[in-house]
Amino acid sequence: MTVSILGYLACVVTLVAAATRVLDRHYTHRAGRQYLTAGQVCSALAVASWTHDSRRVAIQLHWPARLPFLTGNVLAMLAGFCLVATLAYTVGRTDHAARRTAAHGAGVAACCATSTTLALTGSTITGLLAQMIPPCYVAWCYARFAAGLIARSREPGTHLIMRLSLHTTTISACTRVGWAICQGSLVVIAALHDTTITAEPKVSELVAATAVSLGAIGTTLATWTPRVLANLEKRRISRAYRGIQPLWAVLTAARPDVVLADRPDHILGQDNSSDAVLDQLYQMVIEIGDARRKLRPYIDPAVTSHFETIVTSLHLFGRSAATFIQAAELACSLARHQEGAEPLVHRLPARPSPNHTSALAQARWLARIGHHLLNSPTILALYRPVTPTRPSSSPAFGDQVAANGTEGSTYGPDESARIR
Amino acid sequence: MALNRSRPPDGQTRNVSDNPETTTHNRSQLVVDGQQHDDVDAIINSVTWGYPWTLDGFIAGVGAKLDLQINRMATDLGSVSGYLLVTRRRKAYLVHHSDASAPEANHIAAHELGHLVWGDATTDGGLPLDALQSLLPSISADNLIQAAGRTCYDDPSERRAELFAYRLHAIIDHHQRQLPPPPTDTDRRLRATFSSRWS
Repeated sequence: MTVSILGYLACVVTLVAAATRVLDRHYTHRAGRQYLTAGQVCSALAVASWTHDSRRVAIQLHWPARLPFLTGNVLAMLAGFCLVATLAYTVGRTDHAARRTAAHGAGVAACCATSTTLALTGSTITGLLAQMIPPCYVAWCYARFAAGLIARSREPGTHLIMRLSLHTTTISACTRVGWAICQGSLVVIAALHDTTITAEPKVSELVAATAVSLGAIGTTLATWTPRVLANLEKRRISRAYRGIQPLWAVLTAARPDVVLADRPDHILGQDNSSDAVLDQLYQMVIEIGDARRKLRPYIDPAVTSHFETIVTSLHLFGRSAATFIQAAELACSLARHQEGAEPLVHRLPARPSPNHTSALAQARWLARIGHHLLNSPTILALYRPVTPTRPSSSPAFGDQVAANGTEGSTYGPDESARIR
Repeated sequence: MALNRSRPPDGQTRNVSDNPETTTHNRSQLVVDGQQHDDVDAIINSVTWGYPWTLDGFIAGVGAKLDLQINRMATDLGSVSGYLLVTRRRKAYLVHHSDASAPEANHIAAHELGHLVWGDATTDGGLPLDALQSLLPSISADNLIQAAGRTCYDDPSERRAELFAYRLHAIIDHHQRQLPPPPTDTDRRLRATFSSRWS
């Protein structure tokens, strides 16, 4: 029963994959894609036909008991033919594809007719021969398909997702070859022991269901993976955008001259909302960087050296420690700038930025700095950006650190409430 | 060889010399905001570049168009984020602050490139040339002829260069989000078969 369910499940998955390809709004009628879709439909129906429950249903309906089995074999051969045709139209010479496909079509028609005729004669020997033809033909088709895909996936310049798709499809084809070998071996064993195979063994059903499912995944991987990745990136961008906003607000309030105001909306030319958010995120990253650079002369080197010595006692290490020190420097410079202090002559040497390769990665780093700047009680003792209800007192930062004691990497709701 | 430029609002065609040493800068002929977008696009489209759509590729295209050797440099510029330096030997330097991350450095370089293509560099650039030479000891002060710094956006040329940098980033980002062009006909057919999205 479980194996039958797996078979039906593989059938549904494959049919959905085929339907997705057909119903896609970007669908274009190309021979290779049509043969691939037809092959998937045939494979899915073959797997469903081979299941034990399908045979039981056929018996209950007073159909011949071997009808589902024979139907499955014919469908499997048709699926193999469709994949060879897909290969011919996809990686072979285009001018030869139609002629080769026609020849393969004649071959599969002959195989189907011979296999069915032999199976219906009722003789034991012809029945075994009839059972040998489908696995041999399927093994030949899928081995050829796998070889073609392996050769293409090794070509330089193939995109990673495309390569992954080809590899998964190749594994599916190899599994199908394994199924065919398994079937052929069973026929040989049955012939040697003078018995007849009338029921599909469970292992064979399982292998066929696995092969069909892998094929469905592999052939659609290149379609849905970019969409999934785009959605994941969209979420990361939204999270980074929300995270970076408080720091941007504080810094641009202190240095409004870094903001490129009244930028024409069409300057970026993006109509996608996700891209628009990413562009805003990029602009905020650039403006935060400019503001930090303009505030850098206000950093007291004593603050940096002091916080470098105390981050360990605050149980902050690695990235947390680095962002915490930068937040402390920023708080110091903001406080001095707010007080109208003169820039320091002995400013800090330029600190190489972490190796951020994208604005998104840098935004996540800056969001951490903003989190420390606006939530750490130690840093809030240096600079309090929003004090509508509680005017801040700014004692010497060393005293305040000593009063606060230790500090965790995250801050409790009480601290957040105090800021608001 | 001058880059393609749109006509200024007064209808006069700006005569920008190919030689940056003899380029005249008339700030009163700046285009208004509504036309800057088209102006920026016209300049970007006039540059020959392509896959893999990097800023360095675009800079090389601008260099070839202007017959200039354009280099990128990083140094500690204090509170200034970037500079454009032009020397007598037909070399231009896009200098960014050494604390800038890769996206920031690219943006600053694009901004300075905007100054270069519009010929915004002047003989002082906001800093005396000898002061710049102290920041960049590898460049002789005698060779420096023009400079432009990246400061605030109250100056129209700064604003235009910044818009140029944002626009260029958007175009590069748009191109890089696309799948690389298929290297072979087989690859194109593979995509057409296996992926409707990329075909």
